Amino acid sequence: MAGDEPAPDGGTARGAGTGFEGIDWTAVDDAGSAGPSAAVTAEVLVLLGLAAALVYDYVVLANEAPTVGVVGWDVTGVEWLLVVVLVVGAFHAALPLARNRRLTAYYWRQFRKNRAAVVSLGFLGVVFLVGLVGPLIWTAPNEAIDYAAAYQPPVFAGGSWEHALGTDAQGRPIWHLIVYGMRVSLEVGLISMVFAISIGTVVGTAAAYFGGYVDEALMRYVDLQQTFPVFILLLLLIYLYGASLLLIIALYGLFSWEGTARLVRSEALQRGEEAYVRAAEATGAGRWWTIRRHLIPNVSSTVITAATLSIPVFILGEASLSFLGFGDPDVFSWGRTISAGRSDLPNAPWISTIPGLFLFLTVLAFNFVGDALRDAIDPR
Amino acid sequence: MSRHHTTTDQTEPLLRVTDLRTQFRTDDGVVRAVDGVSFGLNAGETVCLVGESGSGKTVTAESITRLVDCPPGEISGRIEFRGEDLTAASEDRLRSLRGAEIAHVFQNPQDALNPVHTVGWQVAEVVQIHESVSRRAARKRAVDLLDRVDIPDPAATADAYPHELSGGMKQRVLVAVALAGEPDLLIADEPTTALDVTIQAQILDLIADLQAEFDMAVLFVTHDLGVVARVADRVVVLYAGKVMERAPVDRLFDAPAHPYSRALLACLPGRGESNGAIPGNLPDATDPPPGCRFASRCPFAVEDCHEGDHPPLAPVAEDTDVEAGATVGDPPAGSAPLAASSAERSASPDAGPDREHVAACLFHGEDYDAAHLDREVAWSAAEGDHGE
Amino acid sequence: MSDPLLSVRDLEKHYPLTEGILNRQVGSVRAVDGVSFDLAAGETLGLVGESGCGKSTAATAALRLEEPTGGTVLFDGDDVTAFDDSELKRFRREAQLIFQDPTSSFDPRMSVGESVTEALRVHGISDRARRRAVGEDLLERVGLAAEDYDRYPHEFSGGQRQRIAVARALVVNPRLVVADEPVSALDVSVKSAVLDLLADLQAEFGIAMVFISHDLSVVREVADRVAVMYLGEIVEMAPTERLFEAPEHPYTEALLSAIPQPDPDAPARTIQLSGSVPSASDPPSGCRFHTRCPKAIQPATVDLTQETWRRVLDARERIAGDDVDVAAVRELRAPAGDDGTALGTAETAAALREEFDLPDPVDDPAVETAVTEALSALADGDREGALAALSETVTTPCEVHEPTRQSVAGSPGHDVACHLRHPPSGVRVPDDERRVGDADGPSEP
Repeated sequence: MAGDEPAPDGGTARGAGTGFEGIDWTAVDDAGSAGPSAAVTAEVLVLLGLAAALVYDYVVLANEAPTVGVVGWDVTGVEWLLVVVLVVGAFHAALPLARNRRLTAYYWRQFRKNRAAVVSLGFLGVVFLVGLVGPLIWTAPNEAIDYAAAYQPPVFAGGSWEHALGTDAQGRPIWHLIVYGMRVSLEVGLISMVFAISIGTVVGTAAAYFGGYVDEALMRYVDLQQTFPVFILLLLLIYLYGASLLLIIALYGLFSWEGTARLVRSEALQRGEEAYVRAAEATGAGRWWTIRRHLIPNVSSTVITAATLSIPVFILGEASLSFLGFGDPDVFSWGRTISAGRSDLPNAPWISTIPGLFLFLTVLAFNFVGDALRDAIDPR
Repeated sequence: MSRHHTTTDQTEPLLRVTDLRTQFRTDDGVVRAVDGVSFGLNAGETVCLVGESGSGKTVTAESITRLVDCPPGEISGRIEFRGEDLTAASEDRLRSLRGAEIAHVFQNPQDALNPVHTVGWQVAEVVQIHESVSRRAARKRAVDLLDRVDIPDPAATADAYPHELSGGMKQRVLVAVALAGEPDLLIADEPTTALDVTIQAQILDLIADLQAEFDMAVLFVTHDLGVVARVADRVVVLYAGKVMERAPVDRLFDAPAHPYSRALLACLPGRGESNGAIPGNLPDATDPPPGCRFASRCPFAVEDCHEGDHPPLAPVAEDTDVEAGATVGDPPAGSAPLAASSAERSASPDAGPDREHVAACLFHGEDYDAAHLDREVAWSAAEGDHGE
Repeated sequence: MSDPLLSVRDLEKHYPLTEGILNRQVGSVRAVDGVSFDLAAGETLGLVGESGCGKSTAATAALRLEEPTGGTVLFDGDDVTAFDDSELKRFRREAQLIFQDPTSSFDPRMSVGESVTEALRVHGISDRARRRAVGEDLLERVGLAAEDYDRYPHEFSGGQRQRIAVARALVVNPRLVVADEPVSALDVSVKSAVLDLLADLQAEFGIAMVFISHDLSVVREVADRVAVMYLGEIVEMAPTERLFEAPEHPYTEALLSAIPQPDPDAPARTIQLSGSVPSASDPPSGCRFHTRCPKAIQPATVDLTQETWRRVLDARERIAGDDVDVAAVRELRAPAGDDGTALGTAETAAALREEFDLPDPVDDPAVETAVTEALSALADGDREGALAALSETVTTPCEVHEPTRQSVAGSPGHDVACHLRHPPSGVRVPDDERRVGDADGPSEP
């Protein structure tokens, strides 16, 4: 085969050192392929560690004992999932952005053009941070029950600075309820989104790339799922097993990826026709290479936008369920707080309206950011 | 020198564009796509706007009937069509002009036809917009028009949908659409660029035939100098939103005056000592450097070229004959026969072709000697020194 | 010539046409139908033709980017069509492709450096620093800067991007590059710079090139030899200057005459081709160009001007293709206000004659009889009858015999597939087209 003699025009071609003609392809072929990159190794190790912690918690420790004693963190299903999601996010969103500074800077310049989105992003950053570390700083609302301090108005309505946002009927500070509600929203939004988007992307890309019967089978399943009454299933499951946040998240994550799958499929079909995909194939790249390095990155603008816009839907959904009383009784969702404050609306309107305002702002901010992202990361 | 600069003003031109400026406000600043373009177009004449991508030729053509989106576009200057200033015309007025008196044919026939209607319906629709006739009569007119543009079996083709036709056929249909209002001016924006050479030749012939038949003026936008040579009476060379040169087509090809025109012609395969490419890039359209727009790429540029405004259009003396490769030293003697012949031509009975030849280059102005441009210059050595 | 680097024989690429839910095959589009050519190391072959003639498909099938449905491709003596996956991957290193559109052929999410060196990574060079060194060196060689390695495609102009495309093709040190319309999307002022770059690098590294273009003037600049394709076949192949100076095939002549000359004084001598390119799913019999050929041979019994003969043939093609709506012709030719239904057979036949642009009468008595009969039949709505009337006299030998590509005497390396040059036995070639054996054409210096 011709590849055995890498430089037919030998004389002139050799000795350039860094030149392409100086590559000794026989040596390269013999060397074989290198192992996975450092980032992939690190990610796999961290995820394995987390898996081990989960197993340790379930198998070794008693149910109520904290897993990591020092910070008093008890691994529960939802929180463990949140950590997994954050790790995955760090390796697949934050790391690539940090690596490709040029592209990141370009995206940022485009994104910056939308003022409302920049403000929204700032607000969401605060929600994210407070939701993440807030519960470590402020005590859980139930531990802060103080009937003596019930119905204190917020500071701007004549209250004291001790409870800046006021207190509810049990004397729980509204701020604590807000912070714990942020955590709930964070969990619902992020975990459901990652599940829905991952499944949707895999299904959509697979359908587009393999086509034929695979496409047909997957898309018909998508049709089926779209007609499936998830809400009724949810009520049934809550009736059978009791309400839990994990259940709500799982149902959202597993039954709301159809839209994404459709979107990704059509996008991938289009991208698959692009010359750069053919260019990659012409260099000898295989199927997986093309899917991983060209198809998926290029549908990512669609995916990221869909992801950003799906988060507020999940958050609102959970809030609605909690408002209706189908929420997890152990967590302080904003919806639950709003619901609890309903009867006090005439005399203590802040109990409902302040969490309501946060819910409203969060949903609005996600929508602003989603729209701006769509404009920013769609390369010309 | 200015004695040849006698514009034949015996008749008012059909279209006169004066100092046209079209700008777009973008996030990166104001893009001056067209920056002070002037030219005229007489009835029955073909003028080519020629330039590379980014020269502003399409924006110029689309500014005439305000087809550019405003905002973000802003059009200023004067566009006189039969004496009426279109820049001041209302949107309603323009709408009644478009298609009726000024028709457009665009580059991509695929995008210009509506895929859900038959082509006959689309031609008939335009007929009905311009004349109040019955649907039956409009259809009959549509079939006539399709026949006019040499579509075989026009009645059957009228019932076809755009996807059933080839690219060349679609372009013929679009020419038929353009003819529906019997326009006096046809603006053809790269009408053959998307087509194969054999089809291109057919379409060019078709436009020429129809032009003669309807006595239409054609404003032809193209980047292809081969097409220019074939269709144009006069040529306007655009670069970075400015007019570089205006000349009768034979003068442009025989004696290009502006260094940019010369460079462009030199890029053509098989023409002269192939200088190949023009080094460098277009200047920034949002913040163009002072002086001549072409100065940074011009091998003849002197210091003055980089200062002040873009050079004004100056008349080109007919004695600088580039094709001969030599400069005629004594202008009066050398130009006499040429001037005579051009006078003869403009005196010919049926046509008074505009023989104006001007170039926006300092070397054709008062202070420099245009002969300097005839020096042979290697395009890579782009630092021109001041001539004697 | 020593053994060619690339040798393509009878290459075919047929796309099946399917119908119904069971995907029953009802025919095939013969995009490439028996293409043969050789390419020596370091040589450039121009592949020209109109869009849809199969020139790009021929190249991609030869590189097995699409599986050919027939024929053989030998690269350096090895049969490309028989390569297994790993051999094919290695072959990709030897043969590279440059695409037409410099915008869409780069992944917008990859830096140009990554795009250029992607092939190195595909082929197992995992050392990032080494790839970067090679990539930066290569970018400099194609006229860009090493710093451009980290920039993204949208930051470059079309000409620069096409330079990057050249770098991408060269990075694996190929011996064959297929350039598919590499400069069609570029402005004239940068076109020649990119062509020069290609030529320089080609000469420096001894790369053979297949240069696909619809722009004959560009091909003339770069190619050593040119192959002209029509409907999936190569109709003529010749050394470049020879092809441009003395084309043998009427299609080549028409193609050459259609190039607009950048000279306002040049006479417009376009040879108009009638009709449009036939469908590749049902190519014409015999010589595929006979339906449009201005020089289609007249049978021995007919003596008409070539122009009239062509019109008669065109009329027959349209009747055969059911491409004429008699009622509509009647309506169109009828006086205003009349839908033409009242027209009799004779008037309708006259209208049809006008529609077909036929003289009245046609000069040749036998043809005239046939035409009159056919038009009358057609006017009465009898299409079959019309065809039958014409079938006797209005036939051309070109549709009966399939021409093969044969060498042109006295012109080395020049083949043409045309009956005018190589008439089948019993076919009379008009004197002014007779090219057999004469020391023809504008003589070479």
